[in-house]
Amino acid sequence: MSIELINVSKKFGSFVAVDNVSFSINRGELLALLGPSGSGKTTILRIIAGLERADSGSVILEGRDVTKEDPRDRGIGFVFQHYALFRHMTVFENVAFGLRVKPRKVRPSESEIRKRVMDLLALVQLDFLANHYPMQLSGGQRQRVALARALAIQPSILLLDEPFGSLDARVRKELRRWLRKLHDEIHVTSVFVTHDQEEALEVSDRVVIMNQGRIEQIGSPEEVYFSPKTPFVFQFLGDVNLFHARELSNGEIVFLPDDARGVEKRVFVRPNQISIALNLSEENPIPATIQYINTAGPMVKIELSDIKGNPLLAFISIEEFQELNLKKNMNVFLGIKSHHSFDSPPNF
Amino acid sequence: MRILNKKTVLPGYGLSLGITWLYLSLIVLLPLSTLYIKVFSGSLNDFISAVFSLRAIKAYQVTFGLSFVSACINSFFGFLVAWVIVRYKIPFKGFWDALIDLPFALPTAVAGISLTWLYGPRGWIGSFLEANGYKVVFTPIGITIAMIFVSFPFAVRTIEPVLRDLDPEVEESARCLGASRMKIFLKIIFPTIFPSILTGFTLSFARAMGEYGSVIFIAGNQPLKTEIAPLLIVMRLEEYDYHGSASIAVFLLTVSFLLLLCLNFIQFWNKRYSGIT
Repeated sequence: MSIELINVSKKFGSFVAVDNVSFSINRGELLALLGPSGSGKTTILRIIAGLERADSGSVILEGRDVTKEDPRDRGIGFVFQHYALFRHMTVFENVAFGLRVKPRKVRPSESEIRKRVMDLLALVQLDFLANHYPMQLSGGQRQRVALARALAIQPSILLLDEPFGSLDARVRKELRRWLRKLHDEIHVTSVFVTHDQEEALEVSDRVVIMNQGRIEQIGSPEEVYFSPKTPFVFQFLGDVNLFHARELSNGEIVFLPDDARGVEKRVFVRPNQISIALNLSEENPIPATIQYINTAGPMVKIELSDIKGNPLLAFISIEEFQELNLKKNMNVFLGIKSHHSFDSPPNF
Repeated sequence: MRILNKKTVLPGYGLSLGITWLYLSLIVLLPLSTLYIKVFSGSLNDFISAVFSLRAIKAYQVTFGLSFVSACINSFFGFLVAWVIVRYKIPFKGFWDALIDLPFALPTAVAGISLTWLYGPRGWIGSFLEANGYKVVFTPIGITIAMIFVSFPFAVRTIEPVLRDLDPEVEESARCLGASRMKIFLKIIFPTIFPSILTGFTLSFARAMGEYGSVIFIAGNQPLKTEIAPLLIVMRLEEYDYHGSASIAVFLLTVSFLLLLCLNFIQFWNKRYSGIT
């Protein structure tokens, strides 16, 4: 076990940023802390790094209690969202900084520093920019310099705070795949914070989903996506439709709006689990009206409203869309291919 | 005049450029060039004898030397004050903040009189210093104090915004990389704000060099000892030696211009990293 957080809490004034959080990170793992802004994920990262002191609880690093240790003694690599590069130093000097500030006794020789820095710059594919200043680099390049700089001190853990947050969409996707590849090469235990669920699900080995300072669920991307434990997780990981369906005494769920049998139950359905048909049938019992059609993209996105006027969202394939010849304001019938419900849904 | 015909998105380019040129010429260029024309229409010998008389040379030494000393002191304490104002929560911050700007607004004669009283033989500080054998008024120390007083705001106000803009994440990342507070200051903070310290130094140096009103009260104005160069210009004028006073003025002007140029070159060199070179 590489990092362990035990009952960590942190308040800023009266705002509870982190509320009694415990989890552990395995050695060599790439873990994502996922949540909306204000959910406490960055605060947790800063507590691990020592940049923030927890009000209570402890942080165990490689079996050592570092709760009260200064960040400079923890040996943690930290990559900031806005790079935080030293702009008066060249790329080379930025990466060399962590080695140069070591106490004289443990500081590597000049030739060793040179070699290590150039190796790292080669690893992040920026060796040709060693003598440039940060202002002369693009956002993606700066972020890779920041990564090389954090890796220079051979940290036991690498922490990344929204590492791709200020990059444009294309560079972002490129860089996160590259990060995944890099992690598979060097296997340094890494935690990265993100509010982008796609990023978290694509890159990480495990995901910690946070909401209002608490952990909602921890698990592999498949686990959290296919078996969400709370409505929050289900909603956060993708678009969702909420149905007020009814559960019959035999456990069967019916979606008919005017059915009065059984008890009411909130049911969640992903847009790609809705089927559309032109005629009423047993599979497609729910009447709805098409409000808006967006065909740009791999799936056709269709916005509908049910007879009570509640908005619904369905994704269907382009072939299906063409076959049905759907048009705006058409009346159609929806079917539910699969759904998800929670036994005791909290209020939201 | 291709520059005037260039198309720009902003309207009124030609007009505003013309006004800017005319205004700057009237306000800055014309008075300065008149001075040069006046001096160099006279004889070179007269110029040299006026500029390099013993009394003039001593006056330059007093002016440049003490301006330099006061600019150094101001840069140090200006940095300190800016640091405290930006970084710490101090009681009555608004009051202290406003106090810094006071020398900007105060008529310099007022400053001169109050400083002379304060440091004079019967003043609060002066009487105490006198008893311990130190004399401030009518000595170079007094001149330096007056110069420090009038140029202090420049040092603080140029450093302060840069210090405020320092990204806390930059310091945090240095901390995570294992740097001690001392090393963070020396290797990260100081190099970042050094250009602004230099700017503050330059402004405060230039201000001190040109200071007249407050210094003449406290200086005593003994020729060869505590006489500043601007005062010498006035002296020459009172003796109806217009050419002599203009000569000294031209010399002062040229030297200060060269000094500013030097400092600007250092600035330029220092900003090499801030953009594409």
